[in-house]
Amino acid sequence: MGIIKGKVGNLKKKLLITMGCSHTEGLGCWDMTLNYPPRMTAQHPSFGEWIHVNKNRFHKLGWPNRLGKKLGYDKVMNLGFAGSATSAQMKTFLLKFKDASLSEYDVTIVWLFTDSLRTSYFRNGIIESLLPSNHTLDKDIMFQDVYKFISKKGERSDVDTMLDYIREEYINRSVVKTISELKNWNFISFHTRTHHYGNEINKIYGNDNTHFFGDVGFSRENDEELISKMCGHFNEKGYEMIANNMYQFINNNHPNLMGKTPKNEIESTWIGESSFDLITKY
Amino acid sequence: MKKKLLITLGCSFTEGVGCWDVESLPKNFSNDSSVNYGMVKEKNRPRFHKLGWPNRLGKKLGYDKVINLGLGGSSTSGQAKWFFTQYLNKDFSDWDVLVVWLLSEPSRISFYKNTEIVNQMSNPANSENYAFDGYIKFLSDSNTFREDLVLEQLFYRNIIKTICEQKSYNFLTFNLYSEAHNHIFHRFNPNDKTYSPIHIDNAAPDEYFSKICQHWNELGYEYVATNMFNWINFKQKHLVNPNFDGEFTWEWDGEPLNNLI
Repeated sequence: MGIIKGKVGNLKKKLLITMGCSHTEGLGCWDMTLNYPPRMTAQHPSFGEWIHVNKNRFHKLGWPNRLGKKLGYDKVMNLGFAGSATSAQMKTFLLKFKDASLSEYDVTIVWLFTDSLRTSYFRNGIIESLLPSNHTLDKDIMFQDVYKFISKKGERSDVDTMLDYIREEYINRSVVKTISELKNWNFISFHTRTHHYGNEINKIYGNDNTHFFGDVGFSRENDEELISKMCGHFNEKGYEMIANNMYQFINNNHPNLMGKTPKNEIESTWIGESSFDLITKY
Repeated sequence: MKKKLLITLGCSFTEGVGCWDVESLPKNFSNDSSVNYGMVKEKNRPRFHKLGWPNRLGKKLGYDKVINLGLGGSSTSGQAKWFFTQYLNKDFSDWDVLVVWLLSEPSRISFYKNTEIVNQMSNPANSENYAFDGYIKFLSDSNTFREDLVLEQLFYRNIIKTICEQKSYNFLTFNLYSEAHNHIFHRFNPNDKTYSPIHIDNAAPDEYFSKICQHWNELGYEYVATNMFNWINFKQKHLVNPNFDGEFTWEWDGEPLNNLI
């Protein structure tokens, strides 16, 4: 039996595709041997430059590679992109993978959902995400306009408004899940906000064994040992905890997705760019 | 041999708005001055659904059945959500399915609100149009305003196209705004044979449009269906069924109500 383009005999290699926001990109795994300015935080003017310096480290040490190794997979493609909305993540996934067959791999998608309030639109050919607190005024205004519309100028209850945002999230999730299923790819999802509005998520998602309805670890976002003081995201220890919890869910509920043996190293690539013109198709 | 099913998606131009029963209308009836416009329109709706382009195209193609999901005022994303939530899991294994989508104005957007798909479009009279107005404001300083609107539209179109391909449904798109947007579609979706660049109502005379609402009337819808058919017959001949001798049936299912998820 020879090696044929990613296959060994009839055993396919295992590919993990991960989707999510900064928590999936790996933000927080700072190289603490570098000389950062005193009292460095996300508000510091040079914060963006330091993110750039640390980016490869983030991508290497976040939960995606840790989970890939624990599962015994051969490769990780990480779509995680800081500041992105769920709909933006779906758009990026579709643009990159809608025509891909990846037939040489057994593919599993793992999606860690972000804050459900985020939305996204194309602007200047780039997928722009709108968050509850943006860095630019025009994005803030657009976010508020959408919120005003859905909450009926605040007349509707917070819970009812949130349920509609989760419905939107659910549609985005369903699109990726459906396309994955049609391509014979596996699909699993987790949520960063289960400890805040898990009941509402449960109400909309219903009984779906491809989603973990428990807390994957984000209730410990304030645990000093697990978070980076510079940005408030998880650090290496925190992402190890997240990867362990994900692994347990998959091992207990989807044993068919497990690889043979855990690995110490894994081939990985970060593919989170969001500009339409820059997007590479697979 | 499987029966042939045509599923149509789009806005009011797919719902068939414009095919008024002119003889039964009140005197001086119009869409901007009549207080009972909504009521009269509702009464005419079954006529719209029967006489629009979907049934005409279905018959020309030799299909057995048409399901028309066209809904007046809907956006591309709203239409995609409706198709996705209502039709994704329908069992059409006994049918050869063709989905034809007539794309509408790309600036329209949609959200879930009060559990329903709510569409927003340019409407100065609507005091609760925050999301649409905010969206246009948000894009106003973009160097690629039109492209951005079309990219958003193209994205939702491609979701449904991808799903159709995976389910072995045939899929075609026509565009109400082909003249303005073809170059954008071609730039971002080159070599896509499922996108028809034709201007479907090109050179249609005035009498093909309803004087009440400026949509097409029966003559216009026949003209549009013929143009669509001619393009399909020329470019996608395998989708035409020349030997149809069965019974033609149709239904309209474009009302996004009670679509709780």
